[in-house]
Amino acid sequence: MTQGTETIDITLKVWRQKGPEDRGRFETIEVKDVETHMSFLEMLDVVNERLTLEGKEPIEFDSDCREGICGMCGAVVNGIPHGPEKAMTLCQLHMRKFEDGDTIVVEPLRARAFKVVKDLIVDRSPLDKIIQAGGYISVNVGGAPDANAIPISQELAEKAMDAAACIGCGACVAACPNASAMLFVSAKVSHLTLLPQGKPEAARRAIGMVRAMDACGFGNCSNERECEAVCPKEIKITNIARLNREFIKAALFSMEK
Amino acid sequence: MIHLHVEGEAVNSKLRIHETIKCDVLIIGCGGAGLRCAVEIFEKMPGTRVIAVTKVPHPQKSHTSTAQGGLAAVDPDDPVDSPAYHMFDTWKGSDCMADQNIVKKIVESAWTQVIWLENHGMHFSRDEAGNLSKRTFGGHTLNFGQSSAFRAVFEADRTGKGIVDTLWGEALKGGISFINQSIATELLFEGKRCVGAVIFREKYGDFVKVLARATVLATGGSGQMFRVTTNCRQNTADGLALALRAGLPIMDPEAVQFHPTGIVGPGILASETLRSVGGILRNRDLEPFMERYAPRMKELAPRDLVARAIEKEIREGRGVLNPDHNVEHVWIDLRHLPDYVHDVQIPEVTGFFRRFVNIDPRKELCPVRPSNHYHMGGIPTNEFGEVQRGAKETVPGLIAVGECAAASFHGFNRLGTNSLLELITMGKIAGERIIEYLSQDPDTLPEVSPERTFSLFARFMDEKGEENTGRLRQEMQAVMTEKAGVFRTEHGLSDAVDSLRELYERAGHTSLSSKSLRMNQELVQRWEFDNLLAISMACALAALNRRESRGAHFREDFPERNDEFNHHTLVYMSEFGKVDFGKRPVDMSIYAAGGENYEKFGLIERKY
Repeated sequence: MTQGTETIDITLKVWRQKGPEDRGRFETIEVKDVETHMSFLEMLDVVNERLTLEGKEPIEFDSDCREGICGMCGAVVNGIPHGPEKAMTLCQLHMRKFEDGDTIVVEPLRARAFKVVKDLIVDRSPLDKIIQAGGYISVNVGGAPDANAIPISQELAEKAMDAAACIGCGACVAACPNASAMLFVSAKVSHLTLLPQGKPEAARRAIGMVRAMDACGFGNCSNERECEAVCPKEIKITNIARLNREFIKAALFSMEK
Repeated sequence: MIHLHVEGEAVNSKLRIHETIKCDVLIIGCGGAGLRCAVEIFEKMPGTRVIAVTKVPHPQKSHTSTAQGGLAAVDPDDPVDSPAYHMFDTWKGSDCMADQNIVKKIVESAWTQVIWLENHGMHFSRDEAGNLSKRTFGGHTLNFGQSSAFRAVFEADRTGKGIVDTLWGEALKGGISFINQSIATELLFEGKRCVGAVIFREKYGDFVKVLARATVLATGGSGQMFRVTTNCRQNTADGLALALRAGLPIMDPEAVQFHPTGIVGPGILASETLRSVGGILRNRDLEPFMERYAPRMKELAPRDLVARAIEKEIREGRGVLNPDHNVEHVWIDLRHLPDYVHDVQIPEVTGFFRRFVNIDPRKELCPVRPSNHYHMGGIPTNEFGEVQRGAKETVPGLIAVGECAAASFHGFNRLGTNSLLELITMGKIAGERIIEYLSQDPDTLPEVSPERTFSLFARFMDEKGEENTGRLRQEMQAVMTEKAGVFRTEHGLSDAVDSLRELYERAGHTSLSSKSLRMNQELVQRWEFDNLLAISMACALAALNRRESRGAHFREDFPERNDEFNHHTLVYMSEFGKVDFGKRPVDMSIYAAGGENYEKFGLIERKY
């Protein structure tokens, strides 16, 4: 059930960048005796501890809950946001997935709209601007004496539930050749629009959020499906189809401009 | 801009206020409590200037988002449940240390809060009929302890995330200004009134003075005091340390909850849901040992009892050793649960075992052991969230909500699902209070200057030596886990106090590899370590002082509860390790009112 502690030696090629204006470069770090039960981020912790003991600057990276729910961690590992394992955040990736002698390339989640703050940290606050443009409910449909006054069918609830799983990590943006945030936008639009309390302002939401996304410098969707492949919460691109329908409906029939 | 390595004077010349910002409300911390407070203000008083500071790079990433299980709320239309039962459970769970005025207030408004969240787009799980689903949780009962209550509403096993997402959207709608990835280094006062705080922006490496008519502390927990914790990396008791440095007390710092089932290795929480859906705890001999400790509630007894039972099994040689982490643990058995339960009710949690420890819970036993989880103690507040200077006197302009605060709803042991309930309710109540405050208070903000921030940071910059903050922190966590953890003794706690003093001294001999202020995680960790040391010290000294066992605080040398200690402890710390104790009585207004079932709210025995 549990195995003895195994170790591997790896070579890290990690992106180092002092600030947004710095050009940045890859740094090669040999890391010996990595215990395979460690997570990828624990491995980076060990590397950082060794770096600081040598008087060198540690690698800056984001992480918080380390459970895969907060959406704070994320880096491109060997070319794939959150690394090679399906349906995982970076903090869930473990060193047992790597072999002794492997070279691992680590880069930030790059996108035109996400500026590199330092090393592996990018600024994901443009996602705020998108949410601000409609990712909420402002019409109070309830005033209902009881939340059960509007029963929601389980099928509908499940669909909305799957869309609401988005943790806003930004991996979809980094994976997309167009650096589009369509999967993120569509997840929020689907979650809110599928539920009765979100229906009244569906048109305003779809138009507002897509417009904000464009304004922030995110690209558009050209059905590459890379986003779906890397999403740690397995959000489906059928949500993008729903967003497109909502957007067209709104653009054609709604008074919202 | 390429940042150059600057030394000595050049750095110290950067230790100045870069900018002064004025606003109506400053909220420090953007978890559920802070954001709920902001949203309440926007709903009732649109156009209020609210600035919210978050330590994480993005408000959506706050620790509230990791809450899995649910939110306890009694539906008034529920044919079998009643708010009185919920109040009783909370009181009993707290080991007679929750304040009854707070318990009544929060429990009675719970369902309204659920409706509010639902109306604002939060997506609660529904049952086949389309109604809100409910699940059972440890310590929540019907009919004053007779049977388990289906009381917790939830969004799959990501209830906290649903709350944060909803509040994040609402706060942005209201026009909140976020200052991301920043820490509050000092509260500012004009006389006794709090008028804002100094904020250090990590991204820019500069200090901003935020002057505010009301300041809210919503900085969350302090789990990083311990080696194994379910808390985020960022939960380093910052708000509590901020209060202590301002000469304010913290209350019941010794009341620390250990969740019985942290996953061995990552320390991640294996939600109580696992036990509520039928998971069984087993020792080395595969005996379902909870039957011996809580014959009636078994696996669903409150957290402190289950945690102690597991620790006892381990200490008496019935644990299992994990070779990777060299720690002993027990098993939770989920193998008998149907696929539907694994796939639909606990997918996230069973996923943790699969991903983090490479174990398939359908086929294998899962290793768990107690893990630090929640701080019941915190900054003392009254029922409106106003911070107290002593047992009665409040600090004008200063509010505290959420885990960093102690009103106290949880007393000495929190029931599962009561924290989400507390943070949204107290967030709202605090918001209402602030609105009152803003409409009375004249719109003037004084010019005050920081007193401590720059000397503190200059000290961190100037320290020289061979010590390493990360390693010292690990040593501190080991000391706290061993000496001030699930089981405590006079001897162990005295040792802990000595070790903490030594660690404090050694922390003065760390040196930063970069003297830059910008994006310097070593510098922030050094600051966090000071906070953690201060709160660990307060915790150890208060635990030493409380010569009894109550809720999560268990003294092996004083295993019984003692009425002599039937009060909250206020801890003031004028300098590191030098504390004064004060007392605050426990509110027993439900008992005193003498209504129906009032006798259930006396100093009752706590057996499950």
